[in-house]
Amino acid sequence: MMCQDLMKSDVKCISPLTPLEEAAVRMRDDGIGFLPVCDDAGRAIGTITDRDITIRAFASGESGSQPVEPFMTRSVVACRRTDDLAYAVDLMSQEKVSRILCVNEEGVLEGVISLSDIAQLEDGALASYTLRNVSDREVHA
Amino acid sequence: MLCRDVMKVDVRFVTAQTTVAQAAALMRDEQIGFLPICHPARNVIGILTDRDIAIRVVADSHSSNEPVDRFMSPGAVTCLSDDDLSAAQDLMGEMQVSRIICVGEDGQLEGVISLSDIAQLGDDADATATLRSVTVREARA
Repeated sequence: MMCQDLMKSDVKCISPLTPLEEAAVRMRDDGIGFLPVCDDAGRAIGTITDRDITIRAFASGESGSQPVEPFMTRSVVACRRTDDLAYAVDLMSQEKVSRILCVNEEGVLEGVISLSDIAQLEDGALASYTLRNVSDREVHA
Repeated sequence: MLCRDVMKVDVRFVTAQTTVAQAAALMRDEQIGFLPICHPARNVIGILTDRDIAIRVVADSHSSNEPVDRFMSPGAVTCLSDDDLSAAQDLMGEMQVSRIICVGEDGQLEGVISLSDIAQLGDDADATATLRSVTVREARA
């Protein structure tokens, strides 16, 4: 199975200049906890989660009107849509992330695969393996 | 296997009058994303997560000095520490939560079990069944 068979392609990204408050509103209204951050050409340059907003910005007393850029995670964990899903799963385990971005040759965002997408597959061992290897930070008490 | 065999007992909690700023700092410093809100006698009155702070506090531009009980989810999904683990897993699936509070006979907080604790047990089918039934909201894209 290839990544493109599983990835969600209706992914909305935000600009690095988007205010934290606006990102939080987007997360609330869309029922998501994760937003890719893309430049003007649509290239993924970072990601920001609901937790990042709380821990990196709010906990330090930062205003919600600040742009997301200084608070986003800059290392993008990504694969190509034509990569084998097993490769993406290994990369998620290795990098301890619960989501992976699918990008094209230019780095333009094409889709996202999350741990919960993998959990929906019939291969329970694969999902459980991934869950076990993804850190407590991501699926934590 | 009983819940008390798996639950984490070193659970951090806060009281209703704790400010959201304090709660966020605690989540950052303790690397947690989930805080039970308790009466002084350790009876759980609600739950506050890192996501709640992002989408209920930051998204609506509330002050960081407001008390956590304005933003918590009232109540909690609980089981007895002496319940069988399978009962807790069923309840987590049914209630679509990735964590369950374990209480004693008197209703006092004794521990927490998270999805990742169940994943560590090594029973692939079991962990995956729970992961699959716990919603995308919790392990979301």
